[in-house]
Amino acid sequence: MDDTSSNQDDDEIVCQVVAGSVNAFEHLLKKYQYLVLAIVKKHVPSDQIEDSVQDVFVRAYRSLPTYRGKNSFGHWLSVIAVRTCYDFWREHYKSRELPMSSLTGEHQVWLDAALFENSSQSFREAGLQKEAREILDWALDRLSAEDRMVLELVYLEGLSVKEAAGQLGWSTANVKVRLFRSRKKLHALLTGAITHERSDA
Amino acid sequence: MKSSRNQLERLTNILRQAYLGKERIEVGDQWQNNVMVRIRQMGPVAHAPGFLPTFEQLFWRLAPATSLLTLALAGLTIAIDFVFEYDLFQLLLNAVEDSALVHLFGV
Repeated sequence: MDDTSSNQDDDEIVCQVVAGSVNAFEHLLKKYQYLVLAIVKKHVPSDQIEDSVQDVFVRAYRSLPTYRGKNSFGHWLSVIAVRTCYDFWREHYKSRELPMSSLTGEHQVWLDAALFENSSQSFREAGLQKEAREILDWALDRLSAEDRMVLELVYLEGLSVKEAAGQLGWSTANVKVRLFRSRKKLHALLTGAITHERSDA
Repeated sequence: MKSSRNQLERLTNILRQAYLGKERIEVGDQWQNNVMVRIRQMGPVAHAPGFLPTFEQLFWRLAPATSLLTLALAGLTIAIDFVFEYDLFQLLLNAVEDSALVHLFGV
């Protein structure tokens, strides 16, 4: 099935749902669940993925009457997914009461191994280790929700500034400025971690 | 300095791998049922009317008030004009002997 007919199918299903056929939404849910899951998994903590994915689809359902079909349904849904993740972090930072986690001795050992190992194989493996995710979360947790989303979308995921701006609903100038500042902050945090690790060694 | 920069670059690349690796996290299937349960509880989605139906609805809703206001303004305008012209006529009649005033109005 090519993209055009797929889009037509989606538009037909959207019309059915808007006309009152609630169960027709299940087709869209099944079709786009992996797309939404892939987006949400990257942006929210693992224990919040299921709730956030549910929120994305419920939000999409509520917004269906505003879907005009200018872009594909998948694109429209991915914008909702990204904005839901952004809203999650805004709420999370607002209600955060617990102190932020700090790097442990295990993380320092991992940093030592990761920084001084030269093979590309270990480079890839290191990225898949639990400690890498924890250090990434440690660093991102110290940034604002806006900085976090821009860094994740552009710097880590590799989207263009224009694409990220479209997903977040911001201007490209705003994304550029945010990206510049947040990258500096992230580098300062990581440099601090490396320096700390070196002074301990 | 250069070594520190290389280390930073290396660490950043590792963290990028870690970020992309998050896609492998396993998630259960129950959430799909929960979505449909929530949606069925919400019921059919409210249809948002387009611009023209909204405009038409607003137009007819405001039409009586607009008509009344138009009539009132028109009446007021006519009344003001009539009073003004009547006063002017009275003034001319009363001051008919006042040639300066007659001259002023060119009568």
